[in-house]
Order: sequence, then C-alpha cells, then structure tokens
Amino acid sequence: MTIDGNEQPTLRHQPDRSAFVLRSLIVLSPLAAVGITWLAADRSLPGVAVLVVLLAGACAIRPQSHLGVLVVAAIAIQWLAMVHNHTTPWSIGAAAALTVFHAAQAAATVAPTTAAWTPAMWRRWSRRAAALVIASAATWIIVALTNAHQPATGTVLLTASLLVLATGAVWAGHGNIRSHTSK
Amino acid sequence: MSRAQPNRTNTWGPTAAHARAVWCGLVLASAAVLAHRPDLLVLATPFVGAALWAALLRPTSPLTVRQSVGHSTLSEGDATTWHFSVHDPSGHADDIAVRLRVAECIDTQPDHGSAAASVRDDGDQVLDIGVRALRWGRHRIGPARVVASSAWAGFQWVSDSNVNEVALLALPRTAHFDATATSVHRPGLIGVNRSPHQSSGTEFASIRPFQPGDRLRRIHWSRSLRTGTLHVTSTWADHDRHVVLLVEGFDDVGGSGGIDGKASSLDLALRAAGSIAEHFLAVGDRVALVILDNRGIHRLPAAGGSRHLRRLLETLATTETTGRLIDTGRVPRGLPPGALVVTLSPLATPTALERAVTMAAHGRSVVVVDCLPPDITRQFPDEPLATIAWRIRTLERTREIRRANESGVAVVQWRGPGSLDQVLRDVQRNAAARTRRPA
Repeated sequence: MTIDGNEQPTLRHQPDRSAFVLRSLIVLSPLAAVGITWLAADRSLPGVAVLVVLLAGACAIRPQSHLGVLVVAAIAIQWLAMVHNHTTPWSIGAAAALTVFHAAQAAATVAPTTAAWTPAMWRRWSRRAAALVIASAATWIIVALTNAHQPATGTVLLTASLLVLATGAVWAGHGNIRSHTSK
Repeated sequence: MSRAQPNRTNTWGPTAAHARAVWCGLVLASAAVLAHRPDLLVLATPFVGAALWAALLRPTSPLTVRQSVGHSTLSEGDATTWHFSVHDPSGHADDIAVRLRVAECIDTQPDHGSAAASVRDDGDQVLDIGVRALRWGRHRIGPARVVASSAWAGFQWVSDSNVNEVALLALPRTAHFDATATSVHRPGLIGVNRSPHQSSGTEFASIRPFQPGDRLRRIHWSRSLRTGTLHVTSTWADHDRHVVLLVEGFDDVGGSGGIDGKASSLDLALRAAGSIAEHFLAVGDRVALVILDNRGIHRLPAAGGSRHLRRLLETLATTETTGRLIDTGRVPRGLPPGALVVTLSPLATPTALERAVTMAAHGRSVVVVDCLPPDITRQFPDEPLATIAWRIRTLERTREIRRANESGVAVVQWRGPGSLDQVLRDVQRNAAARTRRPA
C-alpha cells in the first residue's frame, strides 16, 4: 500500500534526491549494524554481511515489502551467536543502526520516489528516530544496572519482557496485521 | 472555473512497517527472555517503541480530500493549478503525499506530479501541483492518488484512485496575425472593409459625372462649377468579410514537441487557423470553420465576436486524427459563394489541392496555407527510405502547387504573422478585376 503502487519506474519517474538518501540509509544502516557486531565480538562473518547487504538492497528496491524482517533477523541471530558480553555498550550502536534502518524503510513508503521531502518531514523523522535511540540507550542503562546489582536478573527483566510481549500480542491479535498480510 | 468534490474516504490500514515493528519487537523481546540475553532487549527497544508509538497515535477518522483544478480550459503553454486540501479530523496524520497522473502532453510542477508534505507543519498548500498544457487538445488529468501516513508510517490511508479525473481542454496558441490587405468581393453593404464596388460608403473613390439616382448631398460643387456639368463624389462601399477556415486534419505529419518544441503539420494548421480567425474576428469579419478529419466533417457556422473565437478555438482543439475515414477530395457543402476560403493542409496528398482548385472553379477565392513542417525531410535520420519518400513527395507537391497556382489558387507556406498578406492582396486584386464595373 504505497503511493508508487505497482508501477515500474520509467524515464518520466526519475527519483528525487530524498529517495536516494532514504534508500542509501536502508542499505548502509544494516551494514553498520553488522560492523558494530564485529566490533563487539572481535571477530567477523563476511557471509552474513553479504547476505544482509543483499537483503537490504532488496528492501531499498521495495521498501513496502516484508524483507526488512529478514534483515533484522539476520543481524539479531549474528548478534546472538557472536556477542557474549550481555552489557556491552555496542548494543546501543546496533540498536541505533536498526532504528535508522526501520525508520528509513518506513519513511520510504510515505511518498513517491519522485516527490521531494520538505524540511519539516526530515526534522520530524529525525527527531523521532533520535528519541528511539535515546530510549535504547535508556534500556541499556537499565539492563546494565540490573545486571550489575541483581546478577540473577530474572524477575525484573522477565516482567518487563512479558509486558512487552503482552502489548505486542494485543496489537498482533487486533486483526490489523492479519488483514494487512492477507492483502 | 473551479470544480471541487469530496473524495471517497477509506479507512486507515496497517503497513508493512508496522508489522515489522511489531514482529521484530516481539521476537527480539521473546529471545531476550528465553535466552537470558538482556542485550537483545536493547535491540528490541526501537521496534517496540515504534510499534507502540504508531499504535497509540493511530488515526481513527478518515481523511477528507478535496481536489479542484483552477481552469479546465486554457491555451497551449498556459498553466493552471491542481489544488488539494486535506481535512484530518483526528489530527494524527503526519505525512501526506500526492501523485497526479497526467497525459504525455502535460507538464507538471513539481516534476512528475508528485508532492509530499507534513500535514501539520507544512499545510496542504505544498501539495498544489502546477499543470501546464504543452499541446492543444483534450487531455486527461488525474486521477490523483493521495496517501496519508500516521506516526512511523504505521498506518496509511489511500484515496480512491478512480475519481476526480478531469478533462483539460488546451486551445491552440494563436500568434499575433496582421493582414493589411483589403478584402475580396462580398455582396453586402455592411461591415468595416472596403468593397471593390463603389456605392454608399465612407472612403473616397473618385469624382464622376452625376447619374440619375445620385444623392444631392454627394454633388461636388466646385468641380461642377468649373466644368459646367454636375459632378458627384463617389465612395467605396463598405462590407463585411466572410472567411471560411477549412482545416484538413486527416494527417498529422511530423513529430510534435508541444508548444516548446517542434510543430507537426496539425500543430501548424490549428495554430495558424486560430491566428487567422483571431485577426479577422478582431476587425469585425465573420468567420466560419470547417474541419475535415478522419471522423467526418465538423462545422462551426459563421459568426463574429470574441465569444465566437472561443468557440472556434474549442472546436479546433477537438480535432483528432483517430478515425477510419479517408479524404475523398469532396468539397464540403454549404460554402457561401464569394467567401474567402482559407484551406490549411499539409498537402500530403493531391486531394487537398484538387479540392481547392474545384472551389476556385466555382468562383470562390481560395487561399491554401501549406502546413507541412519545413524540415520534414530531415525528421527521419534513422529511416533513409522515409527520407527519400518525403523528398519525392516534396517534388510532386511542388509540381501540384504550380498547377494549382495556374488555376487561380494561391498557396502560401505558413511562416507566422504576415504570411497571408501578399496572397490576400493578390486575391483581392484578382477579385476586384473580375467584379469591377464602370463608374
């Protein structure tokens, strides 16, 4: 459900500069997340980087697709497998890269590729992405404090996570997701 | 003219971005719990935050979009504005984007007919799209696709794409045309043109001996006293001019680049017809229009005035080359005797000149305006056979034009204002010679 619909781009539909910027962010931000993972783990998996770049490229071509979930999944699995420091501050960087990826892919669907973004649109999307990065940093602080003072963790984290899961389940069960994916 | 109509209002629906935020947040948070990996919760935070943000600010009321076009009729090269106004009752719509579909001959500003704006920060004036007609004709504007997005593009509203289509009529651009030649024969005693006949009028013709029937106030006393016989002042009669524009639209020869580019034969014909009509109507003459195209014969009766010019241009703009009729060379019925018939044709086939010769043989003053693009033999650089064919046809045309001239048909190539001046003088001279009678 984007304004570009299913139309194939033609010579009359030269993308605007804002479309180039957003699509560049879609490709570069997952790559940054992969790089941050390598920095946090002190080792690298080039195959994952290639896979992520390919998937991100597909997301840049069709930002309204669900391929972005695969990109996030690839990055998360790599993080889970390679990073063993549960309180590493690099997680803020990875979260910031994922924020940019999600925001850029979402933003690419609000206007046709040929439309120019107004400065107000750039400002609002940047402010909101920054707010999510700050929220990620706050989460990291909470996680680090919880991990330091209550090594057993368990209760707080589990409760918070269950709350998040419940909220997500409410929205997932709202019927919207199912109706959207069935279109 | 302004037409406004409310658009059909659809409901807001979730997007792939919202689905991604929800599922990634859920999966990462679940993994954080199950794998005892609190760092994954940090990675889940952006998605959970975006999903909650979008859900909390989910619009509930449908938008109302109004679309209107400033002018539905304009001249080639002129522009109008397609206005969009958006009403968001819930106030949760963030971004709105518009994409206006237009025909090939329409230019838009911004380019491609696309615009986007922040509803709250930019207002909906940013969404106005300038529409400029590059070529005459009836063009389709719209429908416009309007998409509104909520926070984080979590929910989107798409307008119905099957409404708000408007036909824009682009009239041929008329160049300033000025002919100073006097008129041809016309058996009428009204109007602003000088007749070849001497009769009651305002313009001095000669001083001649008195004849029975002459008015006493016309007696020229000084000449009468000198000569000893009564003399009167004679004047040229005034009359109107009846011009018939005969546009042949069977073929559109050559490529058209619109008002800013190359002109095809039909471009030249329609713009020339508009210019000629504008000139004759401006001086008080009556102009009729006959269009011969592949769909048949379209007539506009003779009339005068600025409103008639508008009607005439609108009729010209509806000329189409799509149809199955072929030119048989038949002279259209109803051409008044004594009218000046201005035929506009690319002369791609001999039938146009044959028709002109037939009309001239029936006593009408005929002028043929050749609308073939001057560079027609250079328009097909990749098709040598087409170039050769056009060269041969050009030579044939030269011979046919020479024969038409010998038959009393003037053929002139349209070169803008003043093209017809010399031809109209010749036509008037010939007509005056035919109709002159002793004073």
